[in-house]
Amino acid sequence: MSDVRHLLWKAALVAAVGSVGVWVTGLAVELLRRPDAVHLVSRLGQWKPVILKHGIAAGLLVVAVLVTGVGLARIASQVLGEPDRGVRPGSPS
Amino acid sequence: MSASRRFRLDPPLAWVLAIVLVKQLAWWALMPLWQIPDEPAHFAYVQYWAESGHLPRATRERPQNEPSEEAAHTEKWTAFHDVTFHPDVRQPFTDGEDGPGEAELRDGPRLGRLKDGNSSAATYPPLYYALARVPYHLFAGGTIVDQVFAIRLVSVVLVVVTTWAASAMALELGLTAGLAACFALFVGMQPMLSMMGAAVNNDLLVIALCTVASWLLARIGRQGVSVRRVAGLALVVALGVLTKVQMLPFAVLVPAFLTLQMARQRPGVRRSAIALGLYGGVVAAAYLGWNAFQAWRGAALPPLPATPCDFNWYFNAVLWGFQGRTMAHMVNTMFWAAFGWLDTVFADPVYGVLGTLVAVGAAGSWVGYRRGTVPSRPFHVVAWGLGLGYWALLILGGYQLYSHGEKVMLQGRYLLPVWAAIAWVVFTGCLSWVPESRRRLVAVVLATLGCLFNTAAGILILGRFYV
Repeated sequence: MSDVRHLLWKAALVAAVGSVGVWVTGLAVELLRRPDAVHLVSRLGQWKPVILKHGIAAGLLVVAVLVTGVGLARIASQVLGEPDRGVRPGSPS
Repeated sequence: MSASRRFRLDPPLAWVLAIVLVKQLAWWALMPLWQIPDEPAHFAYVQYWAESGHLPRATRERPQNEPSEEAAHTEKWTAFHDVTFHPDVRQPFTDGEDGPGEAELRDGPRLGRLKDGNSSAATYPPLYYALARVPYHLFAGGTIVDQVFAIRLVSVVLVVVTTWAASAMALELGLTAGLAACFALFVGMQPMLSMMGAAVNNDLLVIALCTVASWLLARIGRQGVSVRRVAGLALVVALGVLTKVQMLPFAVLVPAFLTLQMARQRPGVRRSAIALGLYGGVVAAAYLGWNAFQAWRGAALPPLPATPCDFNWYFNAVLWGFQGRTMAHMVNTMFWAAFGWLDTVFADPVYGVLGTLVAVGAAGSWVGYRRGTVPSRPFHVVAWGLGLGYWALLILGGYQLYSHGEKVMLQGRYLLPVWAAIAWVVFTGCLSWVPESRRRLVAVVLATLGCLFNTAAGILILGRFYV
Protein backbone atom coordinates (compact mmCIF):
# COMPACT_ATOMS: atom_id res chain seq x y z
CA MET A 1 0.00 0.00 0.00
CA SER A 2 1.41 3.34 -1.01
CA ASP A 3 2.12 6.01 1.56
CA VAL A 4 -0.66 8.24 0.20
CA ARG A 5 -3.24 5.49 0.41
CA HIS A 6 -2.06 4.55 3.89
CA LEU A 7 -2.37 8.17 4.97
CA LEU A 8 -5.78 8.37 3.33
CA TRP A 9 -7.24 5.47 5.24
CA LYS A 10 -5.69 6.63 8.47
CA ALA A 11 -7.29 10.04 7.97
CA ALA A 12 -10.63 8.41 7.10
CA LEU A 13 -10.48 6.35 10.26
CA VAL A 14 -9.66 9.37 12.39
CA ALA A 15 -12.45 11.42 10.77
CA ALA A 16 -15.02 8.65 11.15
CA VAL A 17 -14.06 7.96 14.76
CA GLY A 18 -14.03 11.68 15.44
CA SER A 19 -17.52 12.16 13.99
CA VAL A 20 -18.90 9.24 15.95
CA GLY A 21 -17.10 10.54 19.02
CA VAL A 22 -18.71 13.95 18.73
CA TRP A 23 -22.12 12.35 18.27
CA VAL A 24 -21.72 9.95 21.18
CA THR A 25 -20.36 12.67 23.43
CA GLY A 26 -23.35 14.85 22.62
CA LEU A 27 -25.70 12.02 23.36
CA ALA A 28 -23.94 11.28 26.62
CA VAL A 29 -24.29 14.91 27.66
CA GLU A 30 -27.97 14.84 26.79
CA LEU A 31 -28.51 11.63 28.70
CA LEU A 32 -26.72 13.00 31.73
CA ARG A 33 -28.93 16.06 31.61
CA ARG A 34 -32.04 13.89 31.49
CA PRO A 35 -31.61 10.74 33.51
CA ASP A 36 -35.03 9.48 32.49
CA ALA A 37 -34.23 9.60 28.77
CA VAL A 38 -33.53 6.45 26.85
CA HIS A 39 -30.99 6.02 24.12
CA LEU A 40 -31.59 7.69 20.78
CA VAL A 41 -31.42 4.51 18.76
CA SER A 42 -34.12 2.81 20.77
CA ARG A 43 -36.33 5.83 20.11
CA LEU A 44 -35.69 5.71 16.39
CA GLY A 45 -37.56 2.47 15.97
CA GLN A 46 -40.68 3.63 17.73
CA TRP A 47 -42.44 6.40 15.91
CA LYS A 48 -42.57 4.53 12.68
CA PRO A 49 -44.46 6.81 10.30
CA VAL A 50 -42.07 9.64 10.91
CA ILE A 51 -38.90 7.67 10.36
CA LEU A 52 -40.41 5.93 7.35
CA LYS A 53 -40.37 2.59 9.12
CA HIS A 54 -37.89 -0.25 8.84
CA GLY A 55 -35.10 1.60 10.57
CA ILE A 56 -34.15 3.62 7.50
CA ALA A 57 -33.26 6.63 9.61
CA ALA A 58 -30.83 4.74 11.82
CA GLY A 59 -29.18 3.28 8.74
CA LEU A 60 -28.94 6.68 7.14
CA LEU A 61 -27.20 8.04 10.21
CA VAL A 62 -24.53 5.36 10.00
CA VAL A 63 -24.12 5.87 6.25
CA ALA A 64 -23.94 9.66 6.70
CA VAL A 65 -21.18 9.35 9.30
CA LEU A 66 -19.20 6.89 7.18
CA VAL A 67 -19.56 8.83 3.93
CA THR A 68 -18.64 12.06 5.71
CA GLY A 69 -15.55 10.51 7.26
CA VAL A 70 -14.29 8.80 4.13
CA GLY A 71 -15.28 11.71 1.88
CA LEU A 72 -13.52 14.24 4.05
CA ALA A 73 -10.38 12.13 4.00
CA ARG A 74 -10.50 11.82 0.22
CA ILE A 75 -11.08 15.55 -0.19
CA ALA A 76 -8.26 16.33 2.23
CA SER A 77 -5.96 14.01 0.34
CA GLN A 78 -6.85 15.70 -2.95
CA VAL A 79 -6.51 19.26 -1.62
CA LEU A 80 -3.24 18.70 0.23
CA GLY A 81 -1.84 16.94 -2.82
CA GLU A 82 -2.62 19.75 -5.22
CA PRO A 83 0.55 21.08 -6.80
CA ASP A 84 -0.34 24.77 -6.87
CA ARG A 85 -1.22 27.10 -4.07
CA GLY A 86 -4.99 26.95 -4.22
CA VAL A 87 -5.74 29.47 -6.91
CA ARG A 88 -5.53 28.43 -10.53
CA PRO A 89 -2.87 30.07 -12.68
CA GLY A 90 -4.18 33.11 -14.49
CA SER A 91 -6.94 33.74 -11.97
CA PRO A 92 -7.72 37.36 -11.15
CA SER A 93 -6.31 38.54 -7.88
CA MET B 1 -13.99 28.21 -18.43
CA SER B 2 -15.34 25.67 -20.87
CA ALA B 3 -18.71 24.06 -20.41
CA SER B 4 -17.12 20.64 -20.05
CA ARG B 5 -14.97 21.80 -17.14
CA ARG B 6 -17.84 23.60 -15.46
CA PHE B 7 -20.13 20.59 -15.48
CA ARG B 8 -17.50 17.91 -14.96
CA LEU B 9 -17.88 16.11 -11.68
CA ASP B 10 -14.34 16.23 -10.31
CA PRO B 11 -13.62 13.57 -7.66
CA PRO B 12 -13.58 16.00 -4.71
CA LEU B 13 -16.85 17.58 -5.83
CA ALA B 14 -18.42 14.15 -6.24
CA TRP B 15 -17.49 13.39 -2.63
CA VAL B 16 -18.89 16.71 -1.48
CA LEU B 17 -22.21 16.08 -3.19
CA ALA B 18 -22.32 12.55 -1.76
CA ILE B 19 -21.65 13.83 1.77
CA VAL B 20 -24.29 16.57 1.47
CA LEU B 21 -26.82 14.16 -0.03
CA VAL B 22 -26.57 11.53 2.71
CA LYS B 23 -26.42 14.22 5.39
CA GLN B 24 -29.58 15.77 4.02
CA LEU B 25 -31.31 12.41 3.77
CA ALA B 26 -30.54 11.82 7.44
CA TRP B 27 -32.10 15.17 8.35
CA TRP B 28 -35.02 14.40 6.05
CA ALA B 29 -35.76 11.14 7.80
CA LEU B 30 -35.16 12.32 11.35
CA MET B 31 -36.89 15.70 11.46
CA PRO B 32 -40.40 14.99 12.76
CA LEU B 33 -43.55 16.15 11.06
CA TRP B 34 -44.36 19.89 11.14
CA GLN B 35 -41.30 20.76 13.24
CA ILE B 36 -39.70 23.12 10.72
CA PRO B 37 -40.95 26.70 10.32
CA ASP B 38 -44.25 27.01 8.44
CA GLU B 39 -44.25 23.45 7.13
CA PRO B 40 -48.01 22.99 7.74
CA ALA B 41 -48.82 26.19 5.81
CA HIS B 42 -46.68 25.22 2.80
CA PHE B 43 -48.07 21.71 2.78
CA ALA B 44 -51.60 23.18 2.95
CA TYR B 45 -50.84 25.18 -0.24
CA VAL B 46 -49.68 22.04 -2.07
CA GLN B 47 -52.57 19.96 -0.82
CA TYR B 48 -55.23 22.53 -1.65
CA TRP B 49 -53.87 23.09 -5.15
CA ALA B 50 -53.45 19.39 -5.83
CA GLU B 51 -56.85 18.39 -4.50
CA SER B 52 -58.97 21.29 -5.78
CA GLY B 53 -57.12 22.18 -8.97
CA HIS B 54 -57.12 25.86 -7.95
CA LEU B 55 -54.38 28.00 -6.50
CA PRO B 56 -55.18 29.25 -3.00
CA ARG B 57 -56.24 32.88 -3.00
CA ALA B 58 -54.60 35.46 -0.77
CA THR B 59 -56.86 37.71 1.28
CA ARG B 60 -56.33 41.08 2.93
CA GLU B 61 -56.75 39.58 6.35
CA ARG B 62 -53.68 37.86 7.63
CA PRO B 63 -54.67 34.20 7.36
CA GLN B 64 -53.97 31.83 10.17
CA ASN B 65 -52.49 28.47 9.35
CA GLU B 66 -55.49 26.60 8.07
CA PRO B 67 -54.35 23.12 7.22
CA SER B 68 -56.78 20.64 5.80
CA GLU B 69 -58.98 18.65 8.11
CA GLU B 70 -56.71 15.67 7.55
CA ALA B 71 -53.61 17.67 8.51
CA ALA B 72 -55.38 19.02 11.60
CA HIS B 73 -56.26 15.46 12.62
CA THR B 74 -52.65 14.46 12.05
CA GLU B 75 -51.47 17.08 14.50
CA LYS B 76 -53.92 15.77 17.06
CA TRP B 77 -53.26 12.08 16.51
CA THR B 78 -49.50 12.35 16.58
CA ALA B 79 -49.45 14.98 19.35
CA PHE B 80 -46.62 16.69 17.46
CA HIS B 81 -48.39 20.01 17.72
CA ASP B 82 -47.93 19.85 21.47
CA VAL B 83 -44.18 20.14 20.97
CA THR B 84 -44.10 23.17 18.68
CA PHE B 85 -43.72 26.39 20.64
CA HIS B 86 -43.39 24.41 23.88
CA PRO B 87 -39.76 23.59 24.60
CA ASP B 88 -40.74 21.96 27.89
CA VAL B 89 -42.86 19.31 26.13
CA ARG B 90 -41.05 16.20 24.95
CA GLN B 91 -41.63 14.31 21.75
CA PRO B 92 -44.37 11.70 22.23
CA PHE B 93 -43.45 8.08 21.64
CA THR B 94 -45.09 4.78 22.31
CA ASP B 95 -43.65 1.52 23.50
CA GLY B 96 -45.49 -0.58 20.92
CA GLU B 97 -44.98 -1.43 17.29
CA ASP B 98 -47.09 1.46 16.01
CA GLY B 99 -46.50 5.10 16.68
CA PRO B 100 -49.16 7.29 18.27
CA GLY B 101 -52.12 7.63 15.96
CA GLU B 102 -50.66 5.43 13.24
CA ALA B 103 -53.83 3.40 12.81
CA GLU B 104 -55.95 6.56 12.64
CA LEU B 105 -53.57 8.05 10.11
CA ARG B 106 -53.80 4.96 7.94
CA ASP B 107 -57.59 4.88 8.03
CA GLY B 108 -58.18 8.64 8.15
CA PRO B 109 -60.75 10.34 5.93
CA ARG B 110 -59.35 11.25 2.53
CA LEU B 111 -62.27 13.68 2.10
CA GLY B 112 -60.66 15.74 4.83
CA ARG B 113 -57.87 16.68 2.42
CA LEU B 114 -59.83 19.59 0.99
CA LYS B 115 -60.71 22.61 3.05
CA ASP B 116 -60.38 26.29 2.28
CA GLY B 117 -56.65 26.40 1.55
CA ASN B 118 -56.32 29.78 3.19
CA SER B 119 -52.91 29.14 4.65
CA SER B 120 -50.42 31.83 5.52
CA ALA B 121 -48.47 30.70 2.43
CA ALA B 122 -51.37 31.59 0.12
CA THR B 123 -49.71 34.85 -0.95
CA TYR B 124 -46.73 33.10 -2.51
CA PRO B 125 -46.27 32.48 -6.24
CA PRO B 126 -46.70 28.90 -7.40
CA LEU B 127 -43.37 27.71 -8.80
CA TYR B 128 -42.16 25.66 -5.82
CA TYR B 129 -45.60 24.24 -5.23
CA ALA B 130 -45.79 23.11 -8.84
CA LEU B 131 -42.64 21.05 -8.19
CA ALA B 132 -44.04 19.79 -4.89
CA ARG B 133 -47.22 18.57 -6.53
CA VAL B 134 -45.27 15.87 -8.39
CA PRO B 135 -44.32 13.84 -5.27
CA TYR B 136 -47.69 14.70 -3.72
CA HIS B 137 -49.50 12.96 -6.56
CA LEU B 138 -46.97 10.14 -6.74
CA PHE B 139 -47.74 9.30 -3.09
CA ALA B 140 -51.47 10.08 -3.29
CA GLY B 141 -52.25 6.54 -2.21
CA GLY B 142 -50.24 6.85 0.99
CA THR B 143 -50.94 8.61 4.25
CA ILE B 144 -50.41 12.31 4.73
CA VAL B 145 -47.08 11.50 6.42
CA ASP B 146 -45.91 9.67 3.31
CA GLN B 147 -46.84 12.70 1.21
CA VAL B 148 -45.08 15.21 3.46
CA PHE B 149 -41.90 13.17 3.47
CA ALA B 150 -42.10 12.68 -0.30
CA ILE B 151 -42.35 16.45 -0.85
CA ARG B 152 -39.45 16.99 1.52
CA LEU B 153 -37.29 15.09 -0.97
CA VAL B 154 -37.60 18.08 -3.32
CA SER B 155 -35.84 20.14 -0.66
CA VAL B 156 -33.12 17.52 -0.31
CA VAL B 157 -32.40 17.78 -4.03
CA LEU B 158 -32.40 21.58 -3.84
CA VAL B 159 -29.75 21.54 -1.09
CA VAL B 160 -27.55 19.41 -3.33
CA VAL B 161 -28.15 21.86 -6.21
CA THR B 162 -27.20 24.73 -3.89
CA THR B 163 -23.97 22.95 -2.98
CA TRP B 164 -23.13 22.28 -6.61
CA ALA B 165 -23.81 25.93 -7.53
CA ALA B 166 -21.51 27.07 -4.71
CA SER B 167 -18.77 24.86 -6.13
CA ALA B 168 -19.34 26.24 -9.63
CA MET B 169 -19.12 29.75 -8.21
CA ALA B 170 -15.81 29.01 -6.49
CA LEU B 171 -14.37 27.42 -9.64
CA GLU B 172 -15.49 30.45 -11.63
CA LEU B 173 -13.73 32.70 -9.14
CA GLY B 174 -10.47 30.87 -9.63
CA LEU B 175 -10.18 28.31 -6.83
CA THR B 176 -8.72 24.93 -7.67
CA ALA B 177 -11.03 21.91 -7.73
CA GLY B 178 -9.90 20.87 -4.24
CA LEU B 179 -10.41 24.26 -2.62
CA ALA B 180 -13.72 24.73 -4.43
CA ALA B 181 -14.83 21.40 -2.98
CA CYS B 182 -13.88 22.52 0.52
CA PHE B 183 -15.83 25.73 -0.02
CA ALA B 184 -18.88 23.84 -1.32
CA LEU B 185 -18.77 21.54 1.71
CA PHE B 186 -18.60 24.57 4.00
CA VAL B 187 -21.73 25.90 2.26
CA GLY B 188 -23.65 22.64 2.04
CA MET B 189 -23.10 21.59 5.66
CA GLN B 190 -24.42 24.83 7.14
CA PRO B 191 -26.65 23.62 9.98
CA MET B 192 -29.55 25.95 9.34
CA LEU B 193 -29.52 24.93 5.67
CA SER B 194 -29.59 21.31 6.84
CA MET B 195 -32.63 21.96 9.00
CA MET B 196 -34.54 23.93 6.39
CA GLY B 197 -33.48 21.44 3.71
CA ALA B 198 -35.60 18.84 5.44
CA ALA B 199 -38.76 20.94 5.14
CA VAL B 200 -41.72 21.42 2.88
CA ASN B 201 -40.91 25.08 2.31
CA ASN B 202 -40.41 27.27 -0.75
CA ASP B 203 -37.36 28.83 0.90
CA LEU B 204 -35.27 26.03 -0.55
CA LEU B 205 -36.02 26.91 -4.16
CA VAL B 206 -35.18 30.56 -3.48
CA ILE B 207 -31.92 29.50 -1.82
CA ALA B 208 -30.95 27.28 -4.75
CA LEU B 209 -31.87 29.91 -7.34
CA CYS B 210 -30.02 32.68 -5.49
CA THR B 211 -26.91 30.49 -5.28
CA VAL B 212 -27.11 29.73 -8.99
CA ALA B 213 -27.59 33.47 -9.63
CA SER B 214 -24.51 34.20 -7.47
CA TRP B 215 -22.52 31.82 -9.65
CA LEU B 216 -23.81 33.57 -12.78
CA LEU B 217 -22.85 36.94 -11.27
CA ALA B 218 -19.35 35.56 -10.68
CA ARG B 219 -19.26 34.33 -14.27
CA ILE B 220 -20.25 37.74 -15.60
CA GLY B 221 -17.59 39.30 -13.40
CA ARG B 222 -14.92 36.97 -14.74
CA GLN B 223 -15.94 36.56 -18.36
CA GLY B 224 -17.58 39.90 -19.03
CA VAL B 225 -21.08 41.21 -19.62
CA SER B 226 -22.84 39.63 -22.58
CA VAL B 227 -26.48 39.51 -23.57
CA ARG B 228 -26.53 35.73 -23.27
CA ARG B 229 -25.07 35.69 -19.77
CA VAL B 230 -27.37 38.45 -18.56
CA ALA B 231 -30.36 36.67 -20.10
CA GLY B 232 -29.45 33.51 -18.16
CA LEU B 233 -29.11 35.50 -14.96
CA ALA B 234 -32.42 37.28 -15.56
CA LEU B 235 -34.18 33.97 -16.16
CA VAL B 236 -32.90 32.51 -12.88
CA VAL B 237 -33.87 35.62 -10.92
CA ALA B 238 -37.30 35.66 -12.59
CA LEU B 239 -37.86 32.06 -11.54
CA GLY B 240 -37.00 33.15 -7.99
CA VAL B 241 -39.51 36.01 -8.21
CA LEU B 242 -42.10 33.39 -9.18
CA THR B 243 -41.16 31.43 -6.05
CA LYS B 244 -41.15 33.77 -3.07
CA VAL B 245 -41.23 37.44 -2.25
CA GLN B 246 -37.85 37.10 -0.49
CA MET B 247 -36.28 36.97 -3.94
CA LEU B 248 -37.12 40.64 -4.53
CA PRO B 249 -34.22 42.09 -2.47
CA PHE B 250 -31.82 39.90 -4.44
CA ALA B 251 -33.46 40.94 -7.72
CA VAL B 252 -33.05 44.60 -6.77
CA LEU B 253 -29.37 44.22 -5.91
CA VAL B 254 -28.35 42.50 -9.14
CA PRO B 255 -28.56 45.61 -11.42
CA ALA B 256 -26.23 47.45 -9.04
CA PHE B 257 -23.58 44.74 -9.48
CA LEU B 258 -24.16 44.57 -13.23
CA THR B 259 -23.60 48.32 -13.37
CA LEU B 260 -20.47 47.89 -11.27
CA GLN B 261 -19.16 45.26 -13.67
CA MET B 262 -19.94 47.39 -16.69
CA ALA B 263 -18.15 50.35 -15.13
CA ARG B 264 -15.06 48.13 -14.85
CA GLN B 265 -15.33 46.36 -18.17
CA ARG B 266 -16.75 49.21 -20.32
CA PRO B 267 -18.67 47.04 -22.78
CA GLY B 268 -20.16 50.12 -24.46
CA VAL B 269 -23.28 52.17 -23.83
CA ARG B 270 -25.47 50.21 -26.24
CA ARG B 271 -24.56 46.80 -24.87
CA SER B 272 -24.89 48.06 -21.29
CA ALA B 273 -28.34 49.44 -21.98
CA ILE B 274 -29.42 46.21 -23.65
CA ALA B 275 -28.11 44.14 -20.74
CA LEU B 276 -29.83 46.22 -18.07
CA GLY B 277 -32.99 46.52 -20.11
CA LEU B 278 -33.09 42.78 -20.72
CA TYR B 279 -32.62 42.02 -17.04
CA GLY B 280 -35.19 44.57 -15.91
CA GLY B 281 -37.69 43.48 -18.55
CA VAL B 282 -37.55 39.77 -17.76
CA VAL B 283 -37.67 40.21 -13.98
CA ALA B 284 -40.37 42.89 -14.12
CA ALA B 285 -42.43 40.73 -16.48
CA ALA B 286 -42.31 37.88 -13.97
CA TYR B 287 -43.28 40.08 -11.03
CA LEU B 288 -45.93 42.14 -12.79
CA GLY B 289 -47.30 39.11 -14.62
CA TRP B 290 -47.85 37.23 -11.39
CA ASN B 291 -49.49 40.19 -9.71
CA ALA B 292 -51.68 40.90 -12.76
CA PHE B 293 -52.80 37.28 -12.61
CA GLN B 294 -53.55 37.69 -8.91
CA ALA B 295 -55.59 40.84 -9.58
CA TRP B 296 -57.49 39.13 -12.38
CA ARG B 297 -58.55 36.30 -10.08
CA GLY B 298 -59.50 38.66 -7.27
CA ALA B 299 -56.63 37.82 -4.90
CA ALA B 300 -55.16 40.47 -2.62
CA LEU B 301 -52.08 42.31 -3.87
CA PRO B 302 -49.05 43.65 -1.96
CA PRO B 303 -48.55 45.29 0.41
CA LEU B 304 -50.01 42.56 2.55
CA PRO B 305 -50.03 42.52 6.32
CA ALA B 306 -47.23 40.50 7.90
CA THR B 307 -47.24 38.49 11.09
CA PRO B 308 -46.85 41.06 13.86
CA CYS B 309 -44.15 40.04 16.26
CA ASP B 310 -42.43 41.59 19.17
CA PHE B 311 -38.69 41.04 18.87
CA ASN B 312 -39.46 37.54 17.77
CA TRP B 313 -36.48 37.17 15.45
CA TYR B 314 -34.33 36.41 18.43
CA PHE B 315 -36.51 34.05 20.42
CA ASN B 316 -38.01 32.20 17.55
CA ALA B 317 -35.49 29.40 17.83
CA VAL B 318 -36.63 28.67 21.35
CA LEU B 319 -40.26 28.89 20.40
CA TRP B 320 -39.79 26.38 17.67
CA GLY B 321 -38.53 23.93 20.20
CA PHE B 322 -34.83 24.06 19.49
CA GLN B 323 -32.47 23.90 22.38
CA GLY B 324 -31.26 27.30 23.23
CA ARG B 325 -31.01 29.98 20.60
CA THR B 326 -28.79 27.87 18.46
CA MET B 327 -28.84 26.85 14.88
CA ALA B 328 -31.78 28.68 13.44
CA HIS B 329 -30.13 32.04 13.91
CA MET B 330 -26.42 31.51 13.79
CA VAL B 331 -25.94 33.55 10.66
CA ASN B 332 -27.42 36.47 12.53
CA THR B 333 -24.22 36.63 14.50
CA MET B 334 -22.54 38.56 11.74
CA PHE B 335 -25.16 41.25 11.85
CA TRP B 336 -26.08 41.34 15.50
CA ALA B 337 -22.52 41.25 16.77
CA ALA B 338 -22.92 44.57 18.52
CA PHE B 339 -25.31 43.26 21.08
CA GLY B 340 -25.58 39.53 20.62
CA TRP B 341 -22.17 38.09 19.93
CA LEU B 342 -20.43 37.97 23.28
CA ASP B 343 -23.57 36.73 24.92
CA THR B 344 -24.03 33.88 22.49
CA VAL B 345 -20.38 32.84 22.53
CA PHE B 346 -20.81 31.87 26.15
CA ALA B 347 -24.43 30.77 25.89
CA ASP B 348 -23.88 28.28 23.12
CA PRO B 349 -20.43 27.05 22.07
CA VAL B 350 -21.45 25.97 18.57
CA TYR B 351 -23.17 29.26 17.84
CA GLY B 352 -20.21 31.04 19.33
CA VAL B 353 -17.57 29.15 17.35
CA LEU B 354 -19.30 29.74 14.03
CA GLY B 355 -19.99 33.34 14.97
CA THR B 356 -16.32 33.82 15.77
CA LEU B 357 -15.41 32.19 12.47
CA VAL B 358 -17.70 34.60 10.63
CA ALA B 359 -16.08 37.54 12.40
CA VAL B 360 -12.54 36.29 11.68
CA GLY B 361 -13.40 35.62 8.04
CA ALA B 362 -15.08 38.99 7.56
CA ALA B 363 -12.05 40.76 9.02
CA GLY B 364 -9.75 38.65 6.82
CA SER B 365 -11.78 39.54 3.75
CA TRP B 366 -11.48 43.23 4.56
CA VAL B 367 -7.76 43.14 5.30
CA GLY B 368 -7.04 40.72 2.45
CA TYR B 369 -8.89 42.92 0.00
CA ARG B 370 -6.78 45.90 0.93
CA ARG B 371 -3.57 43.87 0.72
CA GLY B 372 -4.66 42.10 -2.47
CA THR B 373 -4.30 38.63 -0.93
CA VAL B 374 -7.90 37.44 -1.34
CA PRO B 375 -8.79 35.62 -4.56
CA SER B 376 -10.95 37.50 -7.04
CA ARG B 377 -11.04 40.86 -5.28
CA PRO B 378 -13.97 42.31 -7.26
CA PHE B 379 -16.27 39.53 -6.13
CA HIS B 380 -15.58 40.40 -2.49
CA VAL B 381 -17.33 43.70 -3.13
CA VAL B 382 -20.25 41.80 -4.65
CA ALA B 383 -20.34 39.27 -1.82
CA TRP B 384 -20.29 41.94 0.89
CA GLY B 385 -22.94 43.86 -1.00
CA LEU B 386 -25.15 40.81 -1.36
CA GLY B 387 -24.83 39.86 2.31
CA LEU B 388 -25.38 43.28 3.83
CA GLY B 389 -27.62 44.66 1.10
CA TYR B 390 -29.95 41.68 1.13
CA TRP B 391 -30.41 41.85 4.87
CA ALA B 392 -30.96 45.62 4.81
CA LEU B 393 -33.50 45.44 1.99
CA LEU B 394 -35.24 42.54 3.67
CA ILE B 395 -35.74 44.56 6.82
CA LEU B 396 -36.74 47.64 4.85
CA GLY B 397 -39.09 45.75 2.54
CA GLY B 398 -40.61 43.68 5.30
CA TYR B 399 -41.09 46.74 7.44
CA GLN B 400 -42.45 49.10 4.82
CA LEU B 401 -44.25 46.88 2.35
CA TYR B 402 -45.55 44.04 4.40
CA SER B 403 -46.01 45.20 7.95
CA HIS B 404 -47.47 48.70 7.70
CA GLY B 405 -45.02 49.78 10.36
CA GLU B 406 -45.54 46.88 12.73
CA LYS B 407 -42.63 44.80 13.87
CA VAL B 408 -42.08 41.86 11.59
CA MET B 409 -40.70 38.44 12.21
CA LEU B 410 -37.16 38.31 10.87
CA GLN B 411 -35.46 34.99 11.15
CA GLY B 412 -31.90 34.00 10.44
CA ARG B 413 -33.05 31.53 7.83
CA TYR B 414 -34.03 34.44 5.63
CA LEU B 415 -30.31 35.00 5.01
CA LEU B 416 -29.77 31.57 3.50
CA PRO B 417 -30.35 32.83 -0.07
CA VAL B 418 -27.12 34.82 0.24
CA TRP B 419 -25.32 32.23 2.38
CA ALA B 420 -23.00 31.29 -0.51
CA ALA B 421 -21.89 34.95 -0.79
CA ILE B 422 -21.45 35.24 2.99
CA ALA B 423 -19.57 31.94 3.03
CA TRP B 424 -17.27 33.21 0.27
CA VAL B 425 -16.34 36.19 2.44
CA VAL B 426 -15.80 33.98 5.48
CA PHE B 427 -13.97 31.14 3.72
CA THR B 428 -11.58 33.17 1.61
CA GLY B 429 -11.23 35.73 4.40
CA CYS B 430 -9.99 33.01 6.76
CA LEU B 431 -7.57 31.78 4.08
CA SER B 432 -6.13 35.24 3.63
CA TRP B 433 -4.87 35.33 7.23
CA VAL B 434 -2.32 32.55 6.59
CA PRO B 435 0.65 32.22 4.21
CA GLU B 436 -0.14 30.74 0.82
CA SER B 437 1.59 27.50 1.68
CA ARG B 438 -0.91 26.90 4.51
CA ARG B 439 -4.11 27.84 2.72
CA ARG B 440 -4.96 24.35 1.55
CA LEU B 441 -4.64 23.05 5.09
CA VAL B 442 -6.89 25.84 6.41
CA ALA B 443 -9.44 25.04 3.68
CA VAL B 444 -9.55 21.42 4.82
CA VAL B 445 -9.96 22.55 8.44
CA LEU B 446 -12.84 24.85 7.46
CA ALA B 447 -14.56 22.05 5.55
CA THR B 448 -14.11 19.73 8.53
CA LEU B 449 -15.48 22.38 10.88
CA GLY B 450 -18.51 22.69 8.61
CA CYS B 451 -19.14 18.96 9.03
CA LEU B 452 -18.71 19.17 12.79
CA PHE B 453 -21.11 22.14 13.03
CA ASN B 454 -23.65 20.07 11.19
CA THR B 455 -23.17 17.12 13.54
CA ALA B 456 -23.47 19.37 16.56
CA ALA B 457 -26.65 20.88 15.13
CA GLY B 458 -28.02 17.40 14.65
CA ILE B 459 -27.40 16.62 18.30
CA LEU B 460 -28.91 19.86 19.54
CA ILE B 461 -31.93 20.04 17.27
CA LEU B 462 -32.80 16.42 16.63
CA GLY B 463 -31.93 15.51 20.19
CA ARG B 464 -34.76 17.81 21.16
CA PHE B 465 -37.17 15.32 19.65
CA TYR B 466 -35.58 11.95 20.15
CA VAL B 467 -33.69 12.02 23.43
